[in-house]
Amino acid sequence: MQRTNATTRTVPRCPGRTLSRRDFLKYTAATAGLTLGATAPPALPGEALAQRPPRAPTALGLCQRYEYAEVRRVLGRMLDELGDVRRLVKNRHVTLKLNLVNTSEEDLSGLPVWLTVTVHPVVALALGSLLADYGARQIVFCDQLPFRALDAQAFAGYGFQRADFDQATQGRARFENTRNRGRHKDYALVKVPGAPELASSWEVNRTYVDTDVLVSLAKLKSHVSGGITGGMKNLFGVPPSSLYGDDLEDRPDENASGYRSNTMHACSRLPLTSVPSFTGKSVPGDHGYNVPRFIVDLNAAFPVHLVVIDGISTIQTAEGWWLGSMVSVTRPGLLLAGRNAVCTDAVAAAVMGFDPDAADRTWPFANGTNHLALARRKNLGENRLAHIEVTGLDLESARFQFQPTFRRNAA
Amino acid sequence: MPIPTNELTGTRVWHTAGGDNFRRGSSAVAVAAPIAGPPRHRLPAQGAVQAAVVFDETGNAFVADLAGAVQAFTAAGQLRWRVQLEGGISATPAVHPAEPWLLVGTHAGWVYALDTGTGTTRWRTAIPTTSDPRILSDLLCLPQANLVVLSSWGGKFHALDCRTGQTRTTWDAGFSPQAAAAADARGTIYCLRAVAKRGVEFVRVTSSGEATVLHTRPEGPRGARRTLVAAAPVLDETRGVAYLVMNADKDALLQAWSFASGQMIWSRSFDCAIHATPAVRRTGELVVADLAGTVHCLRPDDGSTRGRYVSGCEYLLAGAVSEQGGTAYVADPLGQLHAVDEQGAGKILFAAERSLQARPSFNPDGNLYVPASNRTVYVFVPAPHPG
Repeated sequence: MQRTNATTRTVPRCPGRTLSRRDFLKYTAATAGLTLGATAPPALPGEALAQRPPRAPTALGLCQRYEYAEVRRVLGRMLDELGDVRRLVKNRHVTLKLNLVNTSEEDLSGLPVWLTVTVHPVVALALGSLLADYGARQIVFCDQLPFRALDAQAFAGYGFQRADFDQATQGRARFENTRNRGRHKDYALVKVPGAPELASSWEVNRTYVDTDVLVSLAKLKSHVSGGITGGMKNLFGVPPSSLYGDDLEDRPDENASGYRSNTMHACSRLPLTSVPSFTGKSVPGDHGYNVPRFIVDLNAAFPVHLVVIDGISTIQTAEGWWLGSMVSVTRPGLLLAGRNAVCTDAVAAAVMGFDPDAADRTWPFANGTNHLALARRKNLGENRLAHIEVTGLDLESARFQFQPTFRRNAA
Repeated sequence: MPIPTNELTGTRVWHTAGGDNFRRGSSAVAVAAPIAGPPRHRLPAQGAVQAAVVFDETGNAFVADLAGAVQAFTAAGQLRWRVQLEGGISATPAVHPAEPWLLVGTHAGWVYALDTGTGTTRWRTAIPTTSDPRILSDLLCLPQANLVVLSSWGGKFHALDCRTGQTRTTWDAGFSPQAAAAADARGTIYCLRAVAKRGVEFVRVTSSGEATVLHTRPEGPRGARRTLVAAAPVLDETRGVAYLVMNADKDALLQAWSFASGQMIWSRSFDCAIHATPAVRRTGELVVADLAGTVHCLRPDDGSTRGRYVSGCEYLLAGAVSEQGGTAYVADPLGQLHAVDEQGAGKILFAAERSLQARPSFNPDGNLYVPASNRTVYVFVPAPHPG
């Protein structure tokens, strides 16, 4: 991201690179000829990259309870350990992508979503309060949610109460449901830089673009197709239902609220973006091939400046109740934070007892590609523990093994 | 059909999760004083410990952890041996009561028989599956038939020959099986399972594999696929009753099923689900830890509440255990160990820095072993620590 002097800034900047329609058509012409449904995976660039993958420290902290003061104290210490978060957000417009899910009306055997599947509102509240104290100009809490409301009302079912956030952030909080273009007059078309895997660009709500700082506030979870959920996988919620949703027919629909299973998991249909935006290199039906590649394409297009992961109370084996009774509750009692999403998620995988550089189709990436290793090869960040600095709690003390990711087929 | 009775109302040597094959979680060891903190020993593990500690007759403790290590410690806390197995372990192993064999199941789908004296592998076998191989159910050892019983996510319960690892019989375990089986004194097996279109079933299985459904709670609107079946059936042989946790979508029934009549005696509803296996006190009273964080002390005659203790944790995952004097001990995911008396009054005895998600157990001296997620097993003794 291009950095500018905060004191002279008035207009937030896109963290990735936006395209004009003309730019985009020029770009896609260069990649023409690729067909949807190709089965052969593309050759990866050689391991020896001229440029070392970027890396940044990851901070770990013990936190057993969702008590505001305690979460804020631990998180504040961790952000200070990262060194430059205050400078990162001072006088900036911050967009905070929450890790919620496509309904707030479910539970896991009666346990609410925030203890199991989604980011707990107390963690978001504490982080918002800290960012406000650090001088953030505005803090936009967002995710796409399947409700008509596009403001704070849409977040209430996940435990997010507008009044609490107003108080904690000194009135600088705003909520945006990004399931469509929302309050913006158009979408942002963002190119995936370099050599994209499955998406050459993303067409999204401008909330993710009209910002200085993008924060991914994720839940520490297993994920059947992605191996783990973390700061990177959280961006799966960025492409809006209005263009990518399963409930679309043959045209975009601002009222759509469906999940992106057909477009971004099974890849059985294309999104209804204004221009062709997928490369055609997906493998229909193979979630373990497609999902990790979309994760990498999203993170290439929307560089995350800060990841915070809620690992206090969560679930293991899979990512949500929709996978049935295979999911079980567990309580690592941890918070994680880092300035590079690949590094942070790699540490998260290690905390969960897994090798973040594990071979494809081995645990935790039992059903597909290791997106952390793929991200390193794309030069998005470092996933090898030996090259990542961990601050605060040491990794061995933090380690809290999860039961392994569900394996769809026997090894 | 009467169940054979046992003169003991608790277990001296805890060979399995919950003590013995009845899974009551009740110690038969009379001690002079209640358990007190701080812990006398801290046994180091290689990973988070979410399986209960089991023991042999001499008091050697066997600790299995999520890093796949199994360790044996003397009663004094000295490490005797350590072995590394293939796959993490969260299912509580079982010690053969008559042979020096420790039986262990792993997330990688392996079942091991280890020599309790040396840790040497006597045999190992992989449970067949077309999908996920993990073993989550606490193991059950039937010494009369020389069987070890467990389930895997292949969807079956397996009864293996303890001596060889050969499969003797299998039966349906339902969706995502994690609940342990229990057995009566004759070696008849009882288990719970969630089955599509039917619900949660209470099943009796003979050692030859003949399965009979004794009772069913129909599935809720979300279906059996989403029904939590984690608690083992608990057999109170003294009273001829099996206690069953029958969850539905987000609530639970605790049901008392009579072996004599083959009928339900009573049914008690909870407005939240239950993950933990209940405990039965020496008096027959039940101690039930629920997913709302409450410990219920229930009368055995009708399931009515005698006392209730709020742990302060949002949910409880591990079952309680009870000492001979009646005090129950419950560990919570905030890391707290609670003592709850027969009236339901409780207090926090100890707080670990990481979560407690496994059922505690007693060694033959009445010491309480509490597994923790910070790679530690805490050992508490039944008298104030002199230090």
